[in-house]
This record gives sequence, structure tokens and C-alpha cells, in this order.
Amino acid sequence: MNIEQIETTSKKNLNDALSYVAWVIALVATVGSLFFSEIMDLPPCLLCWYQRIAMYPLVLIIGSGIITRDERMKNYALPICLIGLAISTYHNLLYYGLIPESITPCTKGISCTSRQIEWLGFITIPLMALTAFVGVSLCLIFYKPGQK
Amino acid sequence: MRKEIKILAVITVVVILAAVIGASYYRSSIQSKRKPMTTANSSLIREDSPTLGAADAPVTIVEFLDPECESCAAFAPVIKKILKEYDGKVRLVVRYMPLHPNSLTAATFTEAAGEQGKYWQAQEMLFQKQPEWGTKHGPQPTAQADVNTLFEKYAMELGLDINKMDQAFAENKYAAKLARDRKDGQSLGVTRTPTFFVNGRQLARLGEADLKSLINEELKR
Repeated sequence: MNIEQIETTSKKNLNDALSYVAWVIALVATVGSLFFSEIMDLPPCLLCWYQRIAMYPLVLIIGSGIITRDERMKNYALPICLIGLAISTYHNLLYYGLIPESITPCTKGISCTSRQIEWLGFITIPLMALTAFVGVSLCLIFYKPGQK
Repeated sequence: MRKEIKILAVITVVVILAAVIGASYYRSSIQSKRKPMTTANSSLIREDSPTLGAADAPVTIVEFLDPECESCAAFAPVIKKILKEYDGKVRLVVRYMPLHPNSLTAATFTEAAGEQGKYWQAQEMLFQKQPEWGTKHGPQPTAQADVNTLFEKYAMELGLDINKMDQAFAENKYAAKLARDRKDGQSLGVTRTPTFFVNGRQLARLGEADLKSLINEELKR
């Protein structure tokens, strides 16, 4: 094996790893959000639901892409992920008071800014969601189809 | 089997296993934290709350309910059955947690009926006829029926004094009581209906078997 071959193999491995990392983040976010609502009985707010709509399919789309070795999964997964990222960004801005809540669509049920969990003083559910969306987005952006 | 499928399957199993272990750990930790409140806790039972069953019963069940809540209506026959089964041993105290658009009107109706000695009949009637007067859930709510007309009809069916009933509504006689119940419920952490407290211990999961086992535990004390 010459140096060039080693380089391409490691590049391919790195590329594959990105898809796995994206999938694991999406899976943990999915199971985690279900844990919060079903086990800990924390009701999801409206914006949380919209983010769930974006996050849950990522597990299946990225997962199927990995199993069928179909690298085009990026084309389907990334747009959904970016929409989730946008909603999550908006949610965090509201949550941390950077946008006043009076303009939120959350009028029924639980408020999108009510604080339910604060671990170590700064880890909150919207922050975890944002981290997950950023993580999956970055993985998918750097994931390059066609790395042989 | 493909390598990819194996990897994904293993990770999925690990994550789900972690969630299941976390769930049982979490459940046991909150159950031990959930200290029983004394039945004398003033915000749990108020003097003027509707009560059913022997006054000296060793077990007191406090139910936070909403007359317009579908689960409360569905669970009402179970409660009646349990009261019959544990006759003399269990007492039921009703508190209100109004969460729906017509809840306050309905609660006022039952309270006013209670003044005429027909609280439980009125409650049963509202639960049974809930599809008629209650706010419909779902994507396309049907037009709201005129609640006042319906309630007047129910009052006549129950043989209640309509004038007294009208007066209670006109004066908004039970507003303070209902507001207090809601406040008490909030202070006790009631977020859903029905929520049960058995001798001050909150029922973790709604169901006949769970409620009975909590009652039995309290009877054994």
C-alpha cells in the first residue's frame, strides 16, 4: 500500500465516521427527548415539538443511508437538520431572553421559556437540542459523498 | 449481515438499554423522594370540599379533577367501584383543577347542585353527558353547543331548583373556592387531571391496579 492509498483509506474512514457520529447524536437526542417527556413527565412545548419533527427522521434517514451505503442521504438529511437548527436557534434566543417572549407563538400549554431542567447551572433542554442540531449539521456539512 | 447493520444495532441497543436503566433509576429515586404529606395538610383537604364515604375511614383519597376532563369522566366509574369495594375504609375528597374552557361553569354547576344535596348525581350526569357539553378535542372542533342551555336541561332532569342554580351562576358564588382549589393544586404540583393523593401520597401512574395497591399499602399501616 503506498502513501496515496493510505491517505484515501483514512479519508474514507473519517468520512464514514462523520455519518456514524451524526447518527449517534440524532439517536441520543431522540431517546433523550422521549426520556424527558415520557419518563420524567416534562411536557414538551410547541417549539420542542417542531424540533422533534426535525430530529426524529434524521435517525432513520442517516441510518438507512449508512446501511445501504447510500451517500446521497446527505441531500435529504441536511435540509431537515438545518430547519431544526433554525427552530432551535430561535428557541434558545427566546429562552435566554434575547428575543422578548411576547412575540412567541407559544400561547397554549407549557411556555417555551419555562425552565424545567438546569444541570450544572447552564445545561438546559433547549441548549442540549441546539448542541445536537449543531453537531449533526457540522457532521453532515463535512460529510463528502464520493470519497472512495 | 452487513457490518453497518451490526454497528447500528449494537449502538441502538446500548442507547435504549441506558435509557431503560436510567428510567428505572429515575423512577426509584423520585418514589423515595416523594414523601407522604400529612392528611392534615391544609392545602390538600379543605373543610368545604365535597366528600363521599365514611368520615372516619382510615384512608382518604383526594382527587383533583376537572368536570370537563375526559380521563376524569372515564375514571369516575372506577372510583365509584373502589369506594363500594372498600366501603367504610376509604373516603373520597374532591378538589378542582379547572383546565378546560367550560371547567369553571361545570364546577359551579356541581357545587350548586351539591347545595341542594345532589352533588354526586350532578357530577355523574356531567361526566356521562360530557360529549354533549364538553369542548371537543381534535383538529376540527365541532361548534360549541350552548353550555348554559344544556346545563339548564340537566338541572331540570336532576330536579334541581333552577332559580337557586341561576342565582349561583349570577353571583359567581364559587369563584373564590375554585380559585383556591386551583392554587392549592398548583402548590401541590398537580399539573394533570385526575391526580390522586392517597393519605397524602401521590399516585404515580393512573390506573385501577395502581390505585388499589396504594390503598392496600395504606390500610396495612
